[in-house]
Amino acid sequence: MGFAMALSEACQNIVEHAGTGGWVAVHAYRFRRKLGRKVAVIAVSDGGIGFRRSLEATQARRFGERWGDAVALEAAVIQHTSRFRDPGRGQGMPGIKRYLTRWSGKLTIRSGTARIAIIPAWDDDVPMTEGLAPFPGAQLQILIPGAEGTA
Amino acid sequence: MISIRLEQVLREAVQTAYSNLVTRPTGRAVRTSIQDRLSTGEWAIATLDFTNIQLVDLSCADEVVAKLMADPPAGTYLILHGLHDDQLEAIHHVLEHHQLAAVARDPVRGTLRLVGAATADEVQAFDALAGHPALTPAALAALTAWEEDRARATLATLARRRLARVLEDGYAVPFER
Repeated sequence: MGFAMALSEACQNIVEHAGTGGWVAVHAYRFRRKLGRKVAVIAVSDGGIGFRRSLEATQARRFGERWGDAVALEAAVIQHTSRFRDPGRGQGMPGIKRYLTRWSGKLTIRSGTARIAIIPAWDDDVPMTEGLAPFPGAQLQILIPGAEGTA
Repeated sequence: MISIRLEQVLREAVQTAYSNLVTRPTGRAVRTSIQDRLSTGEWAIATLDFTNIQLVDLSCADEVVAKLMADPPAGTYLILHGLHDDQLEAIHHVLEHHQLAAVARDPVRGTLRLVGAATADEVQAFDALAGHPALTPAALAALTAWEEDRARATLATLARRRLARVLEDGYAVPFER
């Protein structure tokens, strides 16, 4: 998967799951201190129903009392769960993660009161943050370091 | 044999100015259009020509390629043509996800290869078939130093998965040279 495919898959989540429109921005930064190179950042956001409500009808019973924003994010991002029964669904997230692994990239998704992160070795973020101020939709950020020597 | 240009199908099905196979709704529209074209005749082999297609994302690859391979048009062998490496990678992943495989033709060298979920035996047998007009199980066994039962079972599996044709004189790749 390349950059354009990661962008496409990230944006499709809004169309497929949010039940509303959204926003996307792509920007290049210099991460001089942390990485010593340029990074490309894809930010996708929507004010839709969020991960918990999107997955609730098909997944909440499976998790029982644990069900909440954090568990919904884990189900989608770690277990690649989709609310659709079509066995071809749920391939976008693993595709994005494969692409980020190849480039030592980072993925964060905030939805509801939780935020999950797939963290590369160069970053010291935490995998899961709970108890955040409620955000009704989802905010997804993909950070892709450039090749060495791009600072 | 029929050749279906995905670029043309895409423009007709979703009336876009772009040559990107992205999103599931686009994939569904393109697949339906391909199925309609295939239903107009009894085609032994259909080539899906990706020439001039820029981007194929996972969702569209799933809707177009995986679903066509999972439910192939009756009697028709499908060949993927004109794919570049990124597109092959996306298609490989969606086919692997469904435990499916397809035949892809290199646009430059003209060689055939398997993409998707295939065992080492299936790949080796297919590569042997690709180098010959047809092979019997005994001929494949001689080429690979396998037992004949192993060669027969592998060829039968390729045929069942619609990755090889059964001819009067053995098995062959699904392509007319």
